[in-house]
Parts: sequence; C-alpha cells; structure tokens
Amino acid sequence: MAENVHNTSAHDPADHGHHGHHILSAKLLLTVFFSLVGLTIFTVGLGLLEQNEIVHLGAFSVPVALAIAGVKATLVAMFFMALKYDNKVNLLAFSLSIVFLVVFFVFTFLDTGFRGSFDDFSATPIDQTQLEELRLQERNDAILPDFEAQPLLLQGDTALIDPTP
Amino acid sequence: MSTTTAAAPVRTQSAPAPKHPPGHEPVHNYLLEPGPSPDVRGLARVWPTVKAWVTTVDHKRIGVMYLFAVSFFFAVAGIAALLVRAELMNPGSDFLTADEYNRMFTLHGVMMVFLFIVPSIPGSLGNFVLPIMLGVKDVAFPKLNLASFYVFIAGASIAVYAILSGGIDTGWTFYTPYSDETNTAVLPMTMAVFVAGFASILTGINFIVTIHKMRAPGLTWNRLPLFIWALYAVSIVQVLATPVVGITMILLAMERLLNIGIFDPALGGDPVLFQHFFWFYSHPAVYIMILPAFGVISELMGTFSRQKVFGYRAIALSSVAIAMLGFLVWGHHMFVSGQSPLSSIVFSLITFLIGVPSGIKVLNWVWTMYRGSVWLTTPMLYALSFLFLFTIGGLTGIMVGTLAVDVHLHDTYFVVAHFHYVMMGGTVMAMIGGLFYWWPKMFGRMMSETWGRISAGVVFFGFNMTFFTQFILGSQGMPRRYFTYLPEYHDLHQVSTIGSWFLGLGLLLVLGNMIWSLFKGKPAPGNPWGAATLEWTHATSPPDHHNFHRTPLVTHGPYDYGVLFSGDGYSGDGAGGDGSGGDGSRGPAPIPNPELGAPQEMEKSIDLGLAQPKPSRD
Repeated sequence: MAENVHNTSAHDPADHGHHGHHILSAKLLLTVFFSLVGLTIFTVGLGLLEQNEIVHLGAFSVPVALAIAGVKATLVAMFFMALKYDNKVNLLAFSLSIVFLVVFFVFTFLDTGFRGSFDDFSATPIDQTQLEELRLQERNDAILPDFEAQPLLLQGDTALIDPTP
Repeated sequence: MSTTTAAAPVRTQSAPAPKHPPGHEPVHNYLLEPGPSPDVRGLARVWPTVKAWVTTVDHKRIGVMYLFAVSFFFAVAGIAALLVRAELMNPGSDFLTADEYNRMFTLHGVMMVFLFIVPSIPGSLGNFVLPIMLGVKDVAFPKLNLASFYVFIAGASIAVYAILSGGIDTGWTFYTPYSDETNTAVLPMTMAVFVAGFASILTGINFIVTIHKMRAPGLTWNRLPLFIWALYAVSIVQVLATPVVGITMILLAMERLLNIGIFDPALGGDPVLFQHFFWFYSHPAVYIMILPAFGVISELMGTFSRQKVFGYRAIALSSVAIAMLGFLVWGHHMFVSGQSPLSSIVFSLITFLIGVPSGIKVLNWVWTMYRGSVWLTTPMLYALSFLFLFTIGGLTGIMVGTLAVDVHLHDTYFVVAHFHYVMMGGTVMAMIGGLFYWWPKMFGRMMSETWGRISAGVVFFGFNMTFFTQFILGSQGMPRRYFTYLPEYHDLHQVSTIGSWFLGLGLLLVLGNMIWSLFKGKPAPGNPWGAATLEWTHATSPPDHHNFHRTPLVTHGPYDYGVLFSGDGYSGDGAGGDGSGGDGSRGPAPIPNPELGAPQEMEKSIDLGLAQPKPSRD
C-alpha cells in the first residue's frame, strides 16, 4: 500500500538514518521564538486593554485568547517538535485531536456565550406575551363592573322596616 | 459457446463433500491448543487450561472471553431491567422501595451501557473476526489486546464493588448537581467508568493499526468487508471520545472530594457544563454502540441475500460520516437543560443531518435484498428485525431531535422507548444475529436452526410489546425514572411488563441454543453460509491457532458470492456496489446447504515457503 510506506525521500540529506530529525536553521528557530514572544505580549496587552475597558470583546474574550494560544501551540508543535517535517500521518493525528478539542470548545461556547437569549430567538418574546396577558387582565378588571349582576332593589324600602325598636 | 459441453455448471447444491478441503482440516483448534496435552486427564487439566486461557494473546480467545464477560453483564443488567418492569406492574411499591427502585434502574443503565453495549460487538465479535477478515494472524498489538480485556474486567470489578457497597441512584448519566450531593457510591462507579473507558481506547487503537497496516495482499480499501469499515469508524470514535468521559469522571470525583467548583453552582461552577462534558463522550458513545451493529447487518444482508451489498462505498463512507457527525450533536440531549437557544437550534439541525447517512444505510440494505435470493436463516431473521426496529428507533430519534417536540417529550417514556429501539432493537438484535452467523466459525458447531427461528420470533414479539407501549405512554406524558404513576397509565404499564417477560424468554431461548450447540451441535463446515469474506473462504471452523496455513491472497470483493460457485475465481473490480464487475451479472449466487458448506478457496494463498507439509492422502 503506497500510502502506508514511510516516505524517507522527502527528508533532506541532513537526516541521520531513519530516525534522523530535521535540522532547523537558527534563523527559523529564532523567528518562531520571537513570534511566540510577540504573541505572548499581544495576549497580555489585549488583556490589559480589556481591563481598562479600551477594547470590548465581551463574550469573545476567551475565544480570542484561546485562538492566540492555539496559534502558539501550533508553532511549537510544527517547528520545535518538528511535526512539519515528520510523517504526515502524525500531523494528521495531532491535527485531528486539536480539531476535536476546538469542536468541543466552540459548541460549548455556543451555549455559554448566549445563555438567557431566548427573547432574541422567540417569535413572540415571553415578556411581551406576559404583557399582553396583563393588559387583557386589566381591561377585564376595568369592564367587570358593567357586567356584574344588578340587584333588583337598589335602595332598601325603609318604610317596611320599623325604625324604632 | 452453444456447442461446448464443458460450460462451467453453477452448482445449486454442493455435492456431499468433506467439510474441509483435503489438507485443510483444523490442525491446531484454537479452543484446545495451546493447552495441556491429551494424555493429561481429569482435574489435572484444569489449571493448565485456565493458565493457557488467562495468559493468551490470541485474539480469538480474547474475543471469546469478552463474549462471556459481556454476556454475564447483559444477564445481570437484564435481570435488573426485569425487576424494574415488574415493580412498575402496579403503581406504588410492590417489592422495591422508591430508593431501591432508583438504584435498580441506575444499575441497569450503567451496566448495560458501560459494561455491555460499548464493549459488546467490538470486544467479542470484532476481536474474533477482524484479524481473520483481514487475513492476518492476530491484531497489531496482541498483548495490548489482552491488557484491554483485563482493564475491562478491572473496571467491571469496581462497578460490582460500587453496587455491593450500596449502589448508586443518579441514573446512568450521573448528572450534577445531584451526583455531587447524593450519599450513594458515586465515586466507585465513576471510577469504574473511567477504568472501563481505557479498555475501549486500547481496543480502538488496536483495530485502527491492524486495519491500516496488516491487511492481506490484495485486500484493498475497496475490498474491505463492511464490518471492518464499521469497526474502523467505531475505533476512531473510541480513541477520540473516550478520554473525555475519563476526564469528566475525574472532574466529578475532584469536586466531590476536594470541593473544587466545577459543576456546583454554590462553588461557582456550572451544572450544565457537566452535561456538555458527559454528552461530548456519550453521544459519540451511542454511535460506538450502533456502528458495529451496522457492520454486522451489512455482512448478514449480503450473505443471506446471496448477492453483492448494494452501494458498498456509500455504506462504508456513511459509517465514517456518522462517526464524524456524531461528535457535533451532543447538545440534543440538553434542549431543556437551560442551554442557550442558539446552540439548541444548531444541535437540532445537525441532528437531522445524522438521518442522511443512516437513511443511506437502511436504503442500501433493503436494495441488497431486492432481486436477491433472500435466505431466511436465523441470522437473517435477526437482521430483518434489526431493519424494522432500527428504522422505528431512528425515525423517533428525528422526532425527539426536533427542538419544539423535544420540549414536551424530554424525559418521558417516549425517549426511553426511542433509545431502547435503537440500542436493543438495533445493537442487541445485530449482535445476536452476528453470533448466530459467526458461531459455527467461533466454536465449530452449528446452532439449532429451528429454535433459533423461534427465538427470533419471541424476541421480536416481546420487544415490541415491551417498548412500543412505552411510545404511547411517553406521548401521553408518563415521565421516565418515576417509581409510581397515575392510574390512567396502569394498563399500558402492565402490557409493557408482560412483554418484558416474553423478551426475557426469547433471550433465554438464545442462551439455551448456544449452550446446547456447544455440546450437541452438528460439526460446522468451513463455510456453512457460502460467504465470501476471508474468515469463511480461507479458514477452518474453528480456525487454527494462527488462523491460516498460509497468507491468503485476496482476488475478489467481500461479497462476490458467485465466484465461489463459478470456479473462475477472479473478478475484475473489487466490491463495486453497482453490480458491475465480478460476476454480478449472473444474478444471486446459489444457496448452499449449511451442513455441507460451500466451497472454500484455501489454495489462493501466498506461498511463503512456511506452509505445513500436506498430510499424505490415506
């Protein structure tokens, strides 16, 4: 099976035997390192800006922080752990596990980020129906006296009753 | 060709032939060897035999041990279910108190889910059949395979300890905040689930590597039996999802022990978060339960319709699609948990999408039977039961996946009936069908066909009587997990309880049939059903210790039944479900006599020079 053959020809001549690891140039390593440092500074800066209420991310504050952290983790895995130069199957396995973690986070965030937003999705907001009910009740109370049964005798016939004991 | 008299005749009934091709009789029956030599007799045989079995790394023996273990838990949990049903015969307390009732249905749920259904088909049938189907001696990591069995037994032992130390009354889902507060044995039970999960992971890793790396020459991805495709999809889910339930159980234990606020709102936690964690594993877990059953049914449909499985690639890829989509729908268990409406809508939509690959499968199975010679053996009867019951279960799943409808049906008997139709009407039916199908291969004995058919009828009748009534009960508002009920539900509850006795009787018939066949069954030929996958065409019944005398060479697709009877032995394409290639143009393959068996293809092998010398013809 061709796809199962470990392809060693893709490695450069710097490989040492079949377990040889890819040698990265110092320039690339430094670039990755400073990118990581830069991203860390960016995360902290963003946090400070949010604290001082200059930037408003609201519900997206955690996802943004996670996204930056994800980029950093990817850089570490790709270059420092040399996943980029390894057998692509390992990359697939690693990526799949990350994808499933992201799926879990994203879908859970769809819940936690939008809790209590029933009104936005309801054709008739629940408070509006309650308001309608209240108004009907008030109207009912207002016109109720007109519908009450009237007594036949509005004033007692005092003449029939002896006022003196 | 009209003048030739030597046109290849198609044998409709193979002549009385030796059960195995000469030179292919079982040499090292795996059930007996390795073991004590025949001259060791009496009690002296016991210890060597036990030692040979508990230290074995043979996938077949591990599969058999898994089969016995999961059957035991199925029996225990089944008895618990019968007790629950019997208690519900009348409202109020009959012989269980309300607390005992809670413990009883939790015992039933936990055992059935974590100790029976999840390991059932992959552990028993999968372990036994997968390597033989792939034409290899054993799985990729035989010792890991044995370790997985021991880990499973360890988890099961902890679960038994939890039950003996007072049981647990949270239901099988362990929902917080109640599971944080209850005084029952939550910790041991969650640890049992945690440990048993590792058995799943190990099995999954083993299967993935075996399928990727060890297939016999000629066994391309397009010639893989559909059972293997299903197990492949399941293994991916097991490896990716099971760690999450482990983490969840650890978090719950930490919260109970150390009062860390994860799920408890009083400590700043979020109880719905537990449901997210739990269902992120447990919804994929229900696909772990059903996907292997799909694989078994694909095999049965092909073999007992005597023609190629229709839409081979569609069935294979729909297994993988279900496995992937299964990760995106867990929120449909939480529509009334207080999660945001946005996520409910998204989850409901994706839940509908699951219906597409499931529908593809059902349609293809039905089309496999179309214009075939449907051969109503016991396995096929169970497969047809599966088709009927799973379709009901699947369609009601769409109903409860509908957001507005589920608000009313959530936590009623409708849901109970729905998942029993899928789990029992699906997985258990397929597993019994698969057992009837592979039993001759596993133990070298035929089961009683008559009693098998009777049992299929009784199980089918009892099952529907038990659970169809629960659809009605649920739609009328009978809540699940309730100890008592209003008088208007009394009649249907009684019907359901009586049905459960029929169901139990049918399953007892199956058990009796198996035990009977081990001692009295007719010896099985190598290929009783005339199937075309490697375990039937290249292995004896029961298989040798190393499965094959020589490495098999695969020259046709897994469902080219006609090839076995036509003798040309080569089909152009692998397993095209379009009916082209091979000899699919000739209509369905003939039906063999199971006691004589169909021809095998032992000669099609790679000669590595390692073959045993053929015994001289006496």
